Amino acid sequence: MSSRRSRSRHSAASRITDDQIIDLVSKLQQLLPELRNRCPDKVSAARVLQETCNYIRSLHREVDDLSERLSELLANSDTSQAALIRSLLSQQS
Amino acid sequence: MSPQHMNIPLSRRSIRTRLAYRFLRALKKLNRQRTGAVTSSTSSSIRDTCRRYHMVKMAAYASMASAVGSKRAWSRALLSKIRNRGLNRWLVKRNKSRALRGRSSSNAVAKENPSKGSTVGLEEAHQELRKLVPGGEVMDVLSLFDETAHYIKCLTSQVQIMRNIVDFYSD
Repeated sequence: MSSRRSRSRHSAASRITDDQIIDLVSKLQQLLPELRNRCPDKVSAARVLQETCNYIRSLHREVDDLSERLSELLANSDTSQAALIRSLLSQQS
Repeated sequence: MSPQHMNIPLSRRSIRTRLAYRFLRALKKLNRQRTGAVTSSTSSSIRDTCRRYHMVKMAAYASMASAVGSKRAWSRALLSKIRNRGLNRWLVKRNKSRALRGRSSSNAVAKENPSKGSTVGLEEAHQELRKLVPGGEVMDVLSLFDETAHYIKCLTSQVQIMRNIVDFYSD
């Protein structure tokens, strides 16, 4: 209780409500592949944050791996770039 | 995809299209530099491979940040890191914390107190998140969560684009 009161001593504009935090945490949960099918009430905020960290780390790892493969392919391939761009744009939905 | 799609100005196209264009432009530039250079002897090929890998990775983050522009705090932080040539430092620091976590997490599990587990986990995860999201260290909690959501969305799009390119090249 006291922590909430001390937070309200700051300017009203920066007061953080529990609802705002809950909204944002559930928004994050929707983005996580592991947790998005679970009911938001059953997943704790700590779990969401931990899964978020794991997910971001795995995305960074994927970027690293894909960069490595791409750099190898760039070195060895003579594919025309216009064809590459055309095919990539046709896959964009 | 309708043919009119191409006449929309770049700023109003979807984020995925912007990400794709920027990354492809960066790759094209990299490729031009490579073909312009004299072919190197085998002794420097390992160095060249490392350098190429590094440049592709930097191009991925740079193109992602510039496609988003200054609309988001994380992209602003990334862009300023690029301008100060600190992107490499951030990438290395981020990877180091990843490696340390792998070693220490096994010890932490053994010592964990189940009654305090949830609050300790929340604070730890919170600090970890600040390190992972660019510019996360100086944000307040609400902005951190908001920026994280957008960062994850853009990262997944970027990964998808890179996967598409690799698949195309591998055919």
